[in-house]
Amino acid sequence: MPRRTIAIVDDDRISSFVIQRMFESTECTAHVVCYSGGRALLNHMQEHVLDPDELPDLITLDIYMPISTGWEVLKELEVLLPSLSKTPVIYMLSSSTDPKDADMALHSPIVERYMIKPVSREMCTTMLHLSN
Amino acid sequence: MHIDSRDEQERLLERYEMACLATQMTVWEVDTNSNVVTWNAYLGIVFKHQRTVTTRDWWTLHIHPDDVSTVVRMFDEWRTSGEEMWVFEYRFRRGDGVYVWVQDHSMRIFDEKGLEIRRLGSMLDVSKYRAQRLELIKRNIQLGDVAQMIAHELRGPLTTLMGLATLAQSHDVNGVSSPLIDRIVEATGLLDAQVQHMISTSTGLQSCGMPEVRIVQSQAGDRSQCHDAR
Repeated sequence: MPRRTIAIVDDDRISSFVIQRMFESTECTAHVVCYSGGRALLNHMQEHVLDPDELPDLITLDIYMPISTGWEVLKELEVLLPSLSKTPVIYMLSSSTDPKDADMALHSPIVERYMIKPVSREMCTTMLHLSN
Repeated sequence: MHIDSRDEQERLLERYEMACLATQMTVWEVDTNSNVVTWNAYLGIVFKHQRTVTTRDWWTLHIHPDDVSTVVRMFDEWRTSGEEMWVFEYRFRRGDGVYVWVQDHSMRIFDEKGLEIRRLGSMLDVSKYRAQRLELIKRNIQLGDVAQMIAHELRGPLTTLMGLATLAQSHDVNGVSSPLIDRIVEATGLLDAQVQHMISTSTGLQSCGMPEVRIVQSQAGDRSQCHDAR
């Protein structure tokens, strides 16, 4: 069985580090890749549309990022998703407690769940479980 | 109301005059048969109209063009309802051509059969009060925006710190986590509670304003218009 891939999209590298280590602390064997912005992830996915081994199984997407916000990345992912050979499970993961953000995420057809930081081991276990 | 003596009548009238002087209140009464409106002297003193008798049409002609249809519609709805009181704010043109915001309190008096026998009310220039009220709402919104921004900017790194502290806590030595790390986890949790309190308070500030007022975005894009939600 191929190793699962987790893509973390967050402009804060310490935050990415924490999320990565939290996933690792669940003792999952997934391969974790960190992206400092949505563009890098989108480029990678567009390059490997037909290669499921290169596509993430799970994406955690931050909202407030400097170049493209999580919402903008999400819009592009919505367009890209039907052409992919593997559909990733997407989680919005933000420190925002604004109910409007949670509402927007829930209204997106491709978002599995809106999760509020700080990320915990239990949260990572849930994300892994739901993306199985 | 029955007033016994002439003295009492004079005192009552004097009290009414003094109350009008103190509040700058313009009082009006409509003859329900002829639609003739009789005003007190404050129509001249406050609103610079040199007359005390007008028609209903004269009143509607002096309402701001943007407000007139709403005011007339709501006034007529009230007139045909069984309600006694009607309160509305709209812009009214003074004798010098300047529009001011007025608060109109209207009242109907019914006889024993439920038929209207008198319709009267008062009109107050509330422009200054409205400007202050709008300014307060705007400041509350701005203050709420700033607080939200600060809270968000603060919560981002704080949640990272909380995550780091939790990670450090899990890297225990011989099954016992460091008391120092435990305190950091506790302290960041307390700080987060404060930040979240700040967020909810600022959200309240943004939405409270004045509960009875709703701001209407004008075509020019400013927030100069303000209508009562009632």
